[in-house]
Amino acid sequence: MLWAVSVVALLLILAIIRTRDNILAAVSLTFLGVAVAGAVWVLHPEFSAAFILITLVYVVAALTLVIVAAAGLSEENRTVEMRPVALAALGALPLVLMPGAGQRAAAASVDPLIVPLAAVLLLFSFVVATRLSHD
Amino acid sequence: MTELIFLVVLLAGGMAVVAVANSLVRVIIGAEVAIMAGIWGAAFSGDLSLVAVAAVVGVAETVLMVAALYRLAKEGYV
Repeated sequence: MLWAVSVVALLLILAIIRTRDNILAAVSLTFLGVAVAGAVWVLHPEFSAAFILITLVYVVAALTLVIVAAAGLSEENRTVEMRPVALAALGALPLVLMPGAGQRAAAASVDPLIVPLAAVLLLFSFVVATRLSHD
Repeated sequence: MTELIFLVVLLAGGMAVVAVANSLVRVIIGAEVAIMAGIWGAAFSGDLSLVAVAAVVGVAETVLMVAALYRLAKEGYV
């Protein structure tokens, strides 16, 4: 079952790479978020809260990207010079094949301490974003 | 094993999207794919608290990157 989700995710990533349109790429990102949320649900069926969480995160993220991309960014085919950094990051990939801890029982409850910390983090990032985009 | 392959697909896919990007929107999309690998890794560990933290951090970094992109677009750098 997880194989199917992996293949779908691979196809969506290839679609993001192949397409020339930023808006289509953002929509593909939304479907990729839904695919990852479905994979979480397949792995741990007791994490049904996580499905809603991840789906909401990526619907909102992709909508924001669509709005920004549609708000008049001009595509000039200017290359972003980050390729060496991005390719160097691929060098860390074999690390995930190292042996790790086995599958444990899932803890399907959220630590209440996370809620105020998450609220502070979101407030901080919204304040920084407002200061950044309004001079 | 499939879980690790899915993690590698997400990480390598995100990095590949960044590596072939021709606009800053694509860089943000690649970073989102890599953040999704982080969410998947947290879910793989079997703790819902880690999934919640990863999702909240995903929202925060999206907000910050889109705000920076908006600022750059206003100043004509994009």
